[in-house]
Amino acid sequence: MSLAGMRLAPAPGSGVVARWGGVALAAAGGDAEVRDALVDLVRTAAAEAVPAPTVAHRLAALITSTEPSRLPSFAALVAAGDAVAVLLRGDARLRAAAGDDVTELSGADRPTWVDDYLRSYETVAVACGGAGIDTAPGGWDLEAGVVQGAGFTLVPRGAPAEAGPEPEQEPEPEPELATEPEPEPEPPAETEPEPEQEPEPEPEPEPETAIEDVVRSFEVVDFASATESRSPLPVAADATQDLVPVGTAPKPEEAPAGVLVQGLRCIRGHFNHPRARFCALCGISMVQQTQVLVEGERPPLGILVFGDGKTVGLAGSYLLGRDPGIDPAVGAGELVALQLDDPDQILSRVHCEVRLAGWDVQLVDRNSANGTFVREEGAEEWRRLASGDPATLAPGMEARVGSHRFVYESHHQQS
Amino acid sequence: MSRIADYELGESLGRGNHGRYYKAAPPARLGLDADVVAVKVLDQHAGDDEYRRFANELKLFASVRSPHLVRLYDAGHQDGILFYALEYFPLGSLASPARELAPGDVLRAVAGAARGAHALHEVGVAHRDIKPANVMLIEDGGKLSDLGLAQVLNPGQTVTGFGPIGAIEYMEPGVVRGDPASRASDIWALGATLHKALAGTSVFGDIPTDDVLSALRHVLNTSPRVSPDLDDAARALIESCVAPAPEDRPATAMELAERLEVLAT
Repeated sequence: MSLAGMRLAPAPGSGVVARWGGVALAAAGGDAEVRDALVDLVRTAAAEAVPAPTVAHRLAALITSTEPSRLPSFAALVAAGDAVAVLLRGDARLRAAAGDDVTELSGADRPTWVDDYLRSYETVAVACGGAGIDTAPGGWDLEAGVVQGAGFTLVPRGAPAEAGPEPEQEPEPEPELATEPEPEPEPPAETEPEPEQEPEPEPEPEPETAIEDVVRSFEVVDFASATESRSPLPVAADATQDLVPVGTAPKPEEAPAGVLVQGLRCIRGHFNHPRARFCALCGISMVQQTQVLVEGERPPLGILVFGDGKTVGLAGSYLLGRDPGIDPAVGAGELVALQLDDPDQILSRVHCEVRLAGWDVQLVDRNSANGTFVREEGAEEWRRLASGDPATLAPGMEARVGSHRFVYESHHQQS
Repeated sequence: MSRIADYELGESLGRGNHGRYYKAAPPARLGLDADVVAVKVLDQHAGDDEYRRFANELKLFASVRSPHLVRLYDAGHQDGILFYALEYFPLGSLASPARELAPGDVLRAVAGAARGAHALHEVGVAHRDIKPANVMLIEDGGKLSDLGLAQVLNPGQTVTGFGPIGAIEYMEPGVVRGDPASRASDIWALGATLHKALAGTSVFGDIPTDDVLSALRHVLNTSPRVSPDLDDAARALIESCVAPAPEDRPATAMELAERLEVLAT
């Protein structure tokens, strides 16, 4: 049973209850501003389908960066495959039941917060702000959005209104365990295929042990073993010393693997876009200069800023997708793989390419199943790119692939 | 998070650019005298390639025996979660000093960090993440801690999106755009760090903190400005560090360290 497949019945109270996709939140007390930040964090995490450990880290970051008195009590649940990552802070409480097996957690047990994975559950109820756990949830289902409340109960969709934690009910106890072991390769969870002598359908003893098991295997770096050696970093030299007229190869000893393009040098020798009016590096005006094109190593052409803040510098071309490393051009070093999270499998393994062509940055859809979209800065409408047809990006333009968005920014091409 | 590998993690010491620091007791296998170490646990899940690059970079760091670099005791991964253990500093860092600092203390601390950076540069490593939180305080100076591993783990990625937005104020704009990190970019970051520690403000003024895109647009389109409240000598030195053209900055971090030490006396 994954979180997304469960019905969320909010419990009454003066806080907020929110849910999007595989993320659910209940918060009460604290500053309204901090509560809003919390809801925003959860909304963003759901929209970007951020993996559960990262959501937990972001929540922890919000906690540690906020004065405790301003923090609400809250419970956040994030789907992690069939498991659910749980983070509780303040007086938030959680009760998860799977048959007779009941797990109870309370944020009040720790001065900072409590976090864990729930691996075995049929119903999960949380309460904060001193409210009691709702054992008889109403029949509502908050599918997505924010409502007022102080907790919620998650039950399998289709289960009767007050199915609650009744052990009799058991919607599907067996398959639950079978699908349980997700990314972790720990053997204890998988006693299933073993034809051993224990047919007891005991559906658990591992919500606690799972984390301990992981602790046993780790690998450390051997600092005593040989390290590669590198030469000292070069000292910055006056750029005017290495002026290269068009058609001449760069000095062999520097032989940078960079791509050569035609451009202008400012009076101090910095290499620029052919239409630059000011040097992109030192800011000096280039208008008065003789506009003689020279060949030089192409500088990075700008950045891609993703919705989660991840920023990529465009010093070369990139291949984006769920598993772009499979493309031979990545192995050959022509493209850098930029693997994107994609829990909902919207992206193709090789989805699109951000290609540097001369001084242009182009976006090319690589025959993706669900398309690559762009829109101009400030525009509402997305435009789907025809596969294989390069679109030149202008600074401020936004692109969308799967659940990811990124904006192209550049300081070049001030024409 | 309460354990990683054989470390029992204690109090959280805050966030870095791509992970979180905890206080921890060192495992017996390290045979350390210290009873407390700082353990950094990275946010990012790593595969074999990432682990290899991470191990290489940290081995190089550990191979540099400089009194101005924080000791790296241990590094490894557990189930794709990368961690490393560093010397712990009870006096804190320039970002959160355990006691009040006089301007001379700040200058000496940054001078120590600059010497640490120089030692790294001499073995071909750029630090990439110099900022007040990575300048650790000792009785009479400072040491440079940690390494920026974002680029090592994710080629091309210059800002991870995990850290606080404000951390970009210590990144040379060229590095944000994808230029390789260099002596000059670390020297830029040392200048920005010194400015923050002395003047209390960023060389970029008020950076919007509501979203990363606005913050990036701000730092990429604003020329660094040194506070007029600083004395002339400190101002001139910081101005040279954050000069747009690398050749206008001190040529090496060692040269910067020496100039800082003169200012501190």
